[in-house]
Amino acid sequence: MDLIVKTENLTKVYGQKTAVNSVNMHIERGDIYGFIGKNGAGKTTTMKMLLGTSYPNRGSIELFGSRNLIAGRKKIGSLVESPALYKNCTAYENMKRMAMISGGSSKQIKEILELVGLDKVGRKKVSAFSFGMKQRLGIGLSLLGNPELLILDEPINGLDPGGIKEIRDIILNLNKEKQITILVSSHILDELAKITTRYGIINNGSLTEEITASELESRCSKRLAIITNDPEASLTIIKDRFNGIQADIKDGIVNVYSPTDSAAINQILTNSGIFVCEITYIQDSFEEYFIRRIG
Amino acid sequence: MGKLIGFEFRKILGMKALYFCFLIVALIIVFTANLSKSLMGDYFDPSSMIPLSIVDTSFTMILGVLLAIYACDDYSNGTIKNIYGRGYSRFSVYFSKYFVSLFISIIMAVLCFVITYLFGLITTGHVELTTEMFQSIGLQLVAIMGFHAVFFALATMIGKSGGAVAVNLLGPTLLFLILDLVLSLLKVENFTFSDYWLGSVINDLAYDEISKELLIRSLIISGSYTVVFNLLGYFVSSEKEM
Repeated sequence: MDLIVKTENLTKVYGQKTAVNSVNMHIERGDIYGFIGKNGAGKTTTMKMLLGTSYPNRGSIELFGSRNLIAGRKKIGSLVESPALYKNCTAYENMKRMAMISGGSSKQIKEILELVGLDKVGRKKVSAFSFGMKQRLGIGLSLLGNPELLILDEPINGLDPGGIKEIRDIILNLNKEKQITILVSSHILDELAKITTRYGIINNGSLTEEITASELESRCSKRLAIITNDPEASLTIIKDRFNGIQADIKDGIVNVYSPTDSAAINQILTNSGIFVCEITYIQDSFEEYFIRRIG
Repeated sequence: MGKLIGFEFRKILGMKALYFCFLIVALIIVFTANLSKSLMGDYFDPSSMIPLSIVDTSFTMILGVLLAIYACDDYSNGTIKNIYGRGYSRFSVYFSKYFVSLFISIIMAVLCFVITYLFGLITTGHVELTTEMFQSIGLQLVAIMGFHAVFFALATMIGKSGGAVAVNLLGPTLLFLILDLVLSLLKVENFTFSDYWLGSVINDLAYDEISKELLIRSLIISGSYTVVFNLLGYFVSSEKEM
C-alpha cells in the first residue's frame, strides 16, 4: 500500500472549538479520495493543514511516506476555498508567475490552459472572468509542475451543470491519464460519487469512516418498493408467506428489505386478490447513506 | 529561494504602482529643484541640493505606500496560500519579498539623488561631488533600509493594502507625536522620542555636517529599526494562518 497522505491524530483547535479532532486519514496513490462532510465539519481545515497554510495543534502528517513536509508539498497542487489569482493579470500571466515557483514551461502552460478551456481568452484580465473561468484557472494553476497529488476543495461549487461536467471530466482525465492522486471535497454528493474511488466521511471534526467506492455500494441498502391498493393487507401477506422477511410501510408504500424475488411477491399478492400497481427495485443513494451516517 | 526571488521580481516589476511611485518621486524632485533654482537665482547650488533629495520629496511617504501595496498584494489576493502550498517555508517567502522590495527601495532612493544631480548638471552645467555628500547619501540609504523594514513589517502584519497604506503614512509619525505629547505632559524635558525616529535621523543626515556622533547615532538607530521590525514582521508572518 503506497500511502501518499497519512495523518495521525491530526487536531486543530480554534479557541474553544475543535475544528479537526484526531483525524487519521489515509490516501493511497491513484485514489480519487472524496472528502465529505457538512459545512464546518473540518474538511477545509484538514486540507489547509496538509498544505501548511494552517498549523495543527496536535498530531502528525506524512506526505509521500515522509515527515519532510516542505519536500512533500512541492509535489502537491491545490485549489482550496476560492481560487487565489492575480486579478489584474491575464490567465497566461497568472500561470507564468506560478510556473516560476512550481515549475512548468511555456509549452506546458499552453497545454494546461487548453485542458482547462482557457486557451482562447487572450488578453482578458482575470477580474473580468466568470466564476467558472476563475475556478478552471485555479485548477490550471494547481496542475503546474506535474503534481503527484491534487487537493481540490469544493471545485464544482457555484458552477453550472456544464461546468460541473467539465471539471469532473478534467479530474477523471488527470487521474486516469496522468496518474495524479486526487483529494477532492464537495457538497454535491451525487457528483462526487461519479468519480470517487475512496471516501472519507468527516463529521464535527472527526473522520468517522474511510471506505472504498465498492464497499460503499454494498453498504447502501437495497429494497423493493411495492405500491398496491391495500398496503396493510399486502404487508401481512408478505410477512406470512416469507418467513423472517424484513418489511414495513412508509407513506403508503410497502418496503421489503430482504433479498426477495419480486416476481414471486407479485404473484402471491395478485393471487390473494391484491391489485399491484407498481414494484420497483430501489437502492439508497450515496446521499441517503451519507445522511444516515452523519445525521 | 532563487525561484522565489525571481517570482517576486516579476511581480513587483509588473505592478503599475511601482512606475507610478517612481514617476511621482521624479516629478516632485524636478519641481522642488526648479523652485529652488527660481528662488535662489545665481546662488543656486545643485551640490547642496543632492543630499536633500530624499528629505525634500516626501520620499518616505511614497515608499510607505509602495511597500504597503506590494507587501500586502499576496495576502489581499489570497495568492500567498498558493506559495505556501507549494512547499516554500515562511522564512524563504518573507525573505524573498523583503529582499526584492529592499532592492527596489534602494534603487528608488538612489534615483532621487541621480535625478537631482542630472537636474543640476543640465541647468548649471557643473555639479561638484564631494566626499561629505557621498557620506551623507550612504548613511541616508542605510536609514532608508530602516524605513523599509518598518513599512514592510507593518504591511506584512496588517495584510490589507488599504489599512497598510494608512498605517505606513500616518502610523509612525502619529505614534511619535503622541509619545512626545505624553512626555511633555509628564514634564520630561531632556528627552524626546522623535529624536529616535528614522525621519529625524534622515533629516539630520541631510542638513547637518556628518559628525562622528551623528554617524554612530544614525547607524545604531537605522540598524535597530531594521533588526527589530524584521524580527517582528517575520514572527507575525510565520504565525499567520490562511
